[in-house]
Formats: sequence, C-alpha cells, structure tokens
Amino acid sequence: MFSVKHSECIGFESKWKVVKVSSEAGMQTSEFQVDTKGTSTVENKGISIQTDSTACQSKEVDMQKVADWLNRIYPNVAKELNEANNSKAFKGYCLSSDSKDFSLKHLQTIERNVVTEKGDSNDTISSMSWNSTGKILSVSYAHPHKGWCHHNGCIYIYKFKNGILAENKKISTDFCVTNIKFHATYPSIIVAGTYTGSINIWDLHREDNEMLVASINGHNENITQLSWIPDIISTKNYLLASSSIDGFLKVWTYDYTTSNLAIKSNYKFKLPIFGNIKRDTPTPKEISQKVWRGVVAFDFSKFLSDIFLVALEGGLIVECAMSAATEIKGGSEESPLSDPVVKYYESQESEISAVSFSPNRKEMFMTLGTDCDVRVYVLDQEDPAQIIYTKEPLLATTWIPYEDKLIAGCGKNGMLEIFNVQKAKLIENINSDKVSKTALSKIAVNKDNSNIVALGSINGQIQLWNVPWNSIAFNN
Amino acid sequence: MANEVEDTMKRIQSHKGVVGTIVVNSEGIPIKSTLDNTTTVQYAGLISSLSDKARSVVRDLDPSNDLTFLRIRSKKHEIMVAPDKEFILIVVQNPTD
Repeated sequence: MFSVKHSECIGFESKWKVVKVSSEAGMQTSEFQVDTKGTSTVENKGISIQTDSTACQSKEVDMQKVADWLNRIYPNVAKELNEANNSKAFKGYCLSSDSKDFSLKHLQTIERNVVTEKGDSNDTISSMSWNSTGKILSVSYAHPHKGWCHHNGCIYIYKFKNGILAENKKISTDFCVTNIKFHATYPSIIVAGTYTGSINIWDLHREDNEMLVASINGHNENITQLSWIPDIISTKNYLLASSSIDGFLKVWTYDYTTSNLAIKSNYKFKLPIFGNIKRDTPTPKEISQKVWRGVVAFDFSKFLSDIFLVALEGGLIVECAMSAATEIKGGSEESPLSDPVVKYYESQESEISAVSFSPNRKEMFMTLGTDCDVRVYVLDQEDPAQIIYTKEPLLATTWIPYEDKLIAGCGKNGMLEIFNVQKAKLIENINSDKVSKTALSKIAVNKDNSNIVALGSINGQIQLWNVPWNSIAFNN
Repeated sequence: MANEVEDTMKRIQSHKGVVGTIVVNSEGIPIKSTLDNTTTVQYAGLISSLSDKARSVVRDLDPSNDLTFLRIRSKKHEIMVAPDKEFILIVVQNPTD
C-alpha cells in the first residue's frame, strides 16, 4: 500500500528578476485650465400661486345705465371743465425744479418813426395797452407839448401771435393821444383820451370808417388816465373813469350795444385845510396857486371797488370812497359835483406820475415819483411802508400779477428793472439778452400770459420780452 | 342707448381744450373712449386705481365724507376724474396757458 516513489526534481528558471522596462512619452492633450468669472444673469424666483386663475369674464354693460349716469353728471363735469379753462390759478406757475433758468429773453423790437399828416414827428410812446385776451397790443404816440396841441395823434394796433407782434391797424386822431385802454372784458373795444380832453371809443371789429363808436369832450384839459372799473351795482358792467389836469375825475357809463357814453359821477378833490402837505421842497407856484389841483393819476381797488386812490399835482395822495362822496357846489343838475376824499397820505417830495393798487394784496398800493423813488403804502397807514430808491429815475412801474413781492419798472436806465418789495432792493443777478439801451417810458404786462412784457421807449421803439416772473421770485 | 352715451361724450369733447374722454367701469375696464386703445387702457387702469386710493383717503380722514371730483394738473394736461360707484368718467384737458 505504501510505496516509495522518488520523483525527479525539475528545475525552472525563475523570472522574477526580470527588470521592467518603461519609457516616458509626451502627452498630446493640453493642460486643463479653470477660470472663474462672475456672471451677470439676474436671479429669478418663481412663486407659484395656490389660487386658481379665474377666466376674465366680459360683463355686458348696461348702456342705458351709463347714459343715465353720464347725463346726470354732465352739468357738474361741464362746470368743472369751464372752471378749469377760465382758472388763472396756475398762470405763470412753474415747478421749483424747473426754475433754474431765470433769464430775460428778448423776443422782438419794433422801430417806428411816426410822421403824421401834418408832418410832425410823433415819436414818443404815450401809452400802451393789451386787450383782455392778450392777443392785441395797442400803442399810442404823442408829441411832447409845452402849450396847445396842434398835432395829429395816432394809435397803432398790433396782433400778438406766436410770440411776435405784427402791425394790424392804424387809427388816426385829431389831437395827440395821451392815454389808451382796452375794455376789461370786450377785447375789441378801446378808449383813448387826447391832449385836448376828448374821449374816443373805437370798436376794432367794425369797418375802418365805422370804428369810432363814441366820442365826447369829457374834460377841458389833457386826459391823464383812463380806466375801466367794475360797476358796484351790476358787477357784469364796467364803467369808464377818466382823469384830467382840469382837476376832475369823471365816471362814465358805457353801453356796449348802443355805444352810448354818459356821465355818471363827477368828482373834485378838496385840498387839506390844515398844513397837511408836509413837503421840504416847495410846490411850484403855478400848482400851489391852483384852487383845484389837477389829477395826475388814479386807481380803483381791485378788491374793494368803492375805494380809489388819486394822485394830485404837488405830490398829494388822496384816498377816496364813492360811497363817502358829499355834494359840493359847482355841479349841474345832470352831473352833480361831489368830493369823495376820505384820507390824505404823506405827500411825496417829487411829483407823482403813477399810483396803483396791488393786484395781489388788497391793502397795498404804490406810487411812482418823478425822482428816484417808488413808495409802497398800506391802506389807512399815512407813511409809506417801504421806499425803493433807484439809481436812475423810473418812468413807469407795474405790479406783477400773481407775484406779490415783485415790482417791475423801466426808465432812463434803458432796461427792465425788477425790485423785491420786501427787501426794497433791485434784483441784480438776472441774466438778460443784450439790446441797445434807450430810455423806456412805458411798460405793459400781457393780460393772458403775464410773462410777456411790452416796453415802450421815448423814441418810439417797442420791445417785447419774455420774463419768467415765477422763477425770479422763487430765486430771490 | 349707445348713441345717447356717445352724444354726451361728444358734448364733453366739444368743451374747449378737451383732448379725450373715457368711461371706465368699477373694475377699471374701459367701456367707451375717444382716445386710442393703448392710451385708453393705460389711463383706465392707472386713473381708476388712483381714484380708488383718493376715495379711501377721503373716507379714512372722515368716514362721513366722500370723494366727488378729482383734478390732476400736470405740465401737459389736466385730468378730470368724476368717480362714482359703478363708473368713472375721465376727461383729459389741455390747459389754456
């Protein structure tokens, strides 16, 4: 069972010592590089809504209901639309963010050397007036007088369209025109007063030979001012007031349909009995000897139509009231004479050339003296509340509608000057277009757009300017 | 009926300076308009939400009070809004000055 078997040993060569041969080879792929860059994509978030989206249902509208409703609200809407159209609340208004540019822009200059039929050269602008719609400017020319007037006068009518004045008509008069004024509501009615005291009314809508609708010899001497004033009895009607160097201030009724001009009231102004005329400078002899002093200027209050102010020769300022008028001797049965004086104000050293109530504040008024001062008064306060002194004499001043702290004026300086009433100072840092300077004697602010201002020079030149009052007031 | 609505809208449109008139329902959807489609939709949506807001302001200030009319003055236009329970009338007007 058991046997011994010898197996022959078989050797084999060991291979473990064989050395592995390896060689390096270059790689063809380029190195992998990573760059990190920011992305500009917007993050989005999706929010799902749990509610079911309802399909838009088109409802049938009951048109009868809409019609009834519209008819019901129409009167109120129409009233609001008309009110918005006639509202002056935003006239000249600009936002404070828009008010960086406050420079005066020169729009136009009209040169005119007027030669009348008699060969006189009427080259001084005696008066300027815009009509109630602001579409027409009338300018009257006159000759400087020392005695009788033996010249023909003329009035030029300019249409204002697209920011430019264009000559439209010329009206000739027998004598020099001292004052013109467009009607307060009828845009075609214009009244003119002459150096000889006659009052003429024209209707510009009529044919040339039918334009003169009323003419009357209202005064004995030259007419200093004309004004349309609201009638206290019927606020729709306007009365005409005229003043003259003859010492009268007359109020006339004017009927538009019949063109009838008739006297309503006739006023004269008594001088203060006791030495109320405080003046350092003596009054010129020819004036001081007058029993009745001539009326140089007047203005009716815009708020209290019963009250009016009158400037008399010799620097006198008188406050009057129509209701306080007392009858005095010298009148006729048709036109009784009355004295409406209520109060005398501190008289001015120089002669007064204009007096006007503020359109913005009912108690405030200003006077312009022939020397270098503008005085601002408050009603019932005898002394002036503010005196504005100017370097060069002013020949015309005006209040600015809707800007109660501004007064504008022009004069021998030859440019529009704007004053701050509160500071009693000239506003100096205003940029202005450059124009050749000539002494300016008249200023008229457009009734529709108060930024448009017409200036008249003593040599017949008319300048038209655009003045951003609102920005000037805001920045000063 | 529709003619009657259009007649009244024409009367409104004939007022001086009126640029457009829109009648909107309480949901801000325009019913009638004299303006173009895009402008109408824009005005209707924005003005009705503003008028709702204005009404709630008036009522919050005084619960017994209510908004009767809304006027928005901008540089270019004046927008008149007559709000009511069911409809809103929007009139766009050009200011005269």
